[in-house]
Amino acid sequence: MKKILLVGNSNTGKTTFFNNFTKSNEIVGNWHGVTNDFVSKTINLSGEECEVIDLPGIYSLSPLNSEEKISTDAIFENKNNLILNICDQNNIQRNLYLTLELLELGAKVVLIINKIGKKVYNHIDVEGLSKELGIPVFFANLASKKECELLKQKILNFKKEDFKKVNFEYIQKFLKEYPTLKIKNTINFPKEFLLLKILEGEEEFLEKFYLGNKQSFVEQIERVAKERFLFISSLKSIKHEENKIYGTSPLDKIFLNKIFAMPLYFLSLFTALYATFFSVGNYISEQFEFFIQEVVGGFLFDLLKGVNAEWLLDSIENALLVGIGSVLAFLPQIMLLFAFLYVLQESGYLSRLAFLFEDIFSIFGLSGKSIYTLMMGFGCSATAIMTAGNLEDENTKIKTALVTPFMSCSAKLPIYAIFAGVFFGSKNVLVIFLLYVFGAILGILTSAIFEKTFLKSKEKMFIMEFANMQPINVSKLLENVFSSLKSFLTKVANVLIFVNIIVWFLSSFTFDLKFINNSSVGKSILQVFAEFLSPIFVPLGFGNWPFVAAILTGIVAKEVVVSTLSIFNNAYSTKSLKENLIDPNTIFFLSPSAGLSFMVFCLLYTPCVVALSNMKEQIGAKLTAISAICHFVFAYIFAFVVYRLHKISLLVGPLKVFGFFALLALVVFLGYKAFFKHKCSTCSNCSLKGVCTKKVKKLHK
Amino acid sequence: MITLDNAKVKTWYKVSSLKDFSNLKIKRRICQLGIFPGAKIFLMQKSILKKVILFAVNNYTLSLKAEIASKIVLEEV
Repeated sequence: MKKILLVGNSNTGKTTFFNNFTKSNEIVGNWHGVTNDFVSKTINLSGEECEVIDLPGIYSLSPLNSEEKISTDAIFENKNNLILNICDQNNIQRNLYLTLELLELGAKVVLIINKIGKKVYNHIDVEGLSKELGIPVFFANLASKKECELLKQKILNFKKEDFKKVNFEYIQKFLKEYPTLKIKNTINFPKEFLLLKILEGEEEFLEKFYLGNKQSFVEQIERVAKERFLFISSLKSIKHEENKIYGTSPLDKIFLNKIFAMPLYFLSLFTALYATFFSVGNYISEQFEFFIQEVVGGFLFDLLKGVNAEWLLDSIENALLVGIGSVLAFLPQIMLLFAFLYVLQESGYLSRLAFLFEDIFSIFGLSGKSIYTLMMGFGCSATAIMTAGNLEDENTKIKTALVTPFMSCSAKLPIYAIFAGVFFGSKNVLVIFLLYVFGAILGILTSAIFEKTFLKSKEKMFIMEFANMQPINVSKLLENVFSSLKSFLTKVANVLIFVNIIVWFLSSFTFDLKFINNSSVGKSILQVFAEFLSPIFVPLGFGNWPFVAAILTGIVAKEVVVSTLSIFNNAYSTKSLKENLIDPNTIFFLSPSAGLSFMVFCLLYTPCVVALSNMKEQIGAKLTAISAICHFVFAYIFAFVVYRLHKISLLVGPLKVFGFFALLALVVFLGYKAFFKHKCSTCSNCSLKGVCTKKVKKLHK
Repeated sequence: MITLDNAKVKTWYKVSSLKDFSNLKIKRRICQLGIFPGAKIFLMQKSILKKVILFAVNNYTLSLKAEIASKIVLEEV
């Protein structure tokens, strides 16, 4: 089968083109490294089956991280197939570097220049560039479906004559300069490609194809890069607009301001959560809940009027209507959260955040780029973990993947919305905001522990291109939100219905398979099991078996926590879950302290199975298993501490508790100062060794 | 010696040399991004704790860890 590879630098519009070309719906974004694995789809091109492969972005054929390795391996393997090299018009000089490498490789390349944004930084004569490079060159707005369709027709009409081998001057120069360099002959790679790869000191190529003395070999990295760039700047068909720098924006004065940048970020996060949970989101959610229960529910029961099987009606009511409905009621709020994340990503603000956060994150063993993974974790931990692959340092990648589940994902949103609303009334938004911040801080501190123990960052690496700031296209925003929603609903359809039916079955039947209804007495299978485990959770304040069962089922997917509680609630009571949570006469009753403890536990405990499976792919089975256990232990410890502290604060007042901890922190700090002197490792001959402070160290230097 | 991490912001420079990089992969990437002797650089901003440097090279914006930036030796244009 024919293959078409989509290759190019990061953030040039490869996936946008892939979606329009193959009628797919892959995630796109204004960030370098949204695509983290190769995605392929078979389409019919003029009656012929053809596999289109979208690859993660690369800057060159010298991979620096696991994602780039996926791309370069795929290119080397499929270099005889058609390669569509997508370039960004505004950054064509840098993008063409990869094009040259592909041509050196002897690949059949078609250059597609994507027109991104309204500003023009480079004027390109397409025909001229095609002649200069000897390959077909097209100019298109890849965001436009119409233009992609036209491009498809052009791709179908390529002839062999459209691809001409041009002897680039710089290659000839190197070939003349190194005529005797001992290179092993191979049919896999052209000689000029191998020569330049060896001159670039690429370990893999030196090892396999260089026959000379490897010890005395001196690489020519700077020269090779310089010659390629000189060739690109000599291209007559590209004219750059003077004094225009791509990736800068007047808004950077605010977004990168040393004083306002950070408060602005936290303010925007709080505003997004406020809108999601309180003002707009809450109202729409209530209307939606009414619609599901009254309209859809009423319709379903009207439809099943004549049916006599009690267990069937009960399963429809509990497993589907109540279970699924309890989660679907939060769809509007989840949509708002997705919209917020999309705006962050698409506007180009995320690369500014990465720049700002590198300062702080590097102290804790993370990279500024980790912010992308962590922010995406607010949407879905499972997908977010996969994006860690774009981090250059292996240990930083592992740490980022390990701490991402500490970010509160959208599946936990229904839990907070119910519990914070019931127990904290008007302060619910503040409590939820603090939960989000608490999870994030804990994640960062955990990373610091890893950094100091067994996962020290090997290479302090942060190389990041700035994405261009761009206005948000409302139709694209809606398209993306609905696409995210579709994935969420698919998960609900695939996992939730299945799990809810199992939960309903386990909670509706006894061990001897007798159906529990209003007239029969007996304990369900799940109740027996949860009651057995409930003593473990008594110290956390929520030892009641329905909560224990909800936590157990929540390991499958966090959405199941609320749906499980709703199924139980509907089976045991006629009142709503919210009413029962504050009714001391029911098994659903929790004190505010226990409610808070339950939310903290749900925030931190073992990630869902999909997240664990993705984590295994990124960091291996052993670390994933450790992570699953550690998350549970962390959740237990912190839920216990929060439960006790909240109880104490209710007795003596929150100010006294805060005062006590402030005093404790002061004592610990003074004790540390008194007993542990600052040790300076850099000035070994310093007379002040062992007692110097940073100030003295500076003077001494 | 002026290096990218200690240079003045809002100033144009020319790369004069690249100091020893222990990791060749990073040196290669730096060069492939357009930073090599002779390339022009405009230093735009340093992060709050000066751990990251934001600059323009080859008409686009790039940010780099200060440890790596310290290996890029500059001269004033």
